[in-house]
Amino acid sequence: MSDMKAFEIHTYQSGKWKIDSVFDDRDLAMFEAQRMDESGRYTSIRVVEEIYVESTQETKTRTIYRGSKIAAANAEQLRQSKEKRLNKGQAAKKRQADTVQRKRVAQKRKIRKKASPVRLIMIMIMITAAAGGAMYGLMFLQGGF
Amino acid sequence: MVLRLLSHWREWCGDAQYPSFSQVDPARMAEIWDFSFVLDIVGHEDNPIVRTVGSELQNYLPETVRNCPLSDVPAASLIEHAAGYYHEILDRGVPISRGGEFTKYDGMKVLYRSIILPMSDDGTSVSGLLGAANCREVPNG
Repeated sequence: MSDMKAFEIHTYQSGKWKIDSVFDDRDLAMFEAQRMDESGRYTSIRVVEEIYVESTQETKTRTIYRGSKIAAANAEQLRQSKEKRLNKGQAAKKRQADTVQRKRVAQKRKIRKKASPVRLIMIMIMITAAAGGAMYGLMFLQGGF
Repeated sequence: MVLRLLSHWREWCGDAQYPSFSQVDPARMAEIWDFSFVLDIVGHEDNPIVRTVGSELQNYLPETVRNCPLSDVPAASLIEHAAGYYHEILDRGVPISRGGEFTKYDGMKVLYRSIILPMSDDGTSVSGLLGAANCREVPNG
């Protein structure tokens, strides 16, 4: 028992694939598909190999040729999605780095704030002023003045 | 030759699904026409009538087969092999090319390549088939 092979040339027309012709010879189908592709008259060309396995009575298909326009479109799409993925990754890394940087700056500012002598002097002045004010208030209430 | 005829067929098609026999000008494709044959299938889907046979194809026949049903074509002739898969074109509605080898009625081994193209009177339903085949004889032994 031998498997039967057919090579279908498909053209993309009006939004769908259409069988243009069928060959029993791979080389002839490939040659014709390449010639059609180079003619520029078709949006897209592909060659589909159809194998009928007699023992299982199943038909297997696989695309063995894609016209340069499809290949170019696929390559462009791949390039764009790669670029997008790369940009996305870089943006995430940058965001993460920015967050870490911001946290570091805030931490430093906090430490600097805590350690500043001006801040301590100001606090002491305020405490002294508050204590003085309180004593004055108490003496005023006792009628000392 | 098979690819040249297919190329002509596509040109004749234009925007239609199938071309008409009226578009075929044998004078413009004389080198192919000599290897061509026409099968009439209207009312003869199960056994087409051979309407024309090119002179080169006729050379591979022991007798004339013009206006003969395909079943009456001599066995082991080029046209028998070149037209033998006509029903696949009726089933699928697309040009199909086949090649192979056979031993001719005179004992000579022949390698051939053929094509059958669907033709139509109204552009949408297949009403006839245009075929072509070329071959070369391979000396035995």
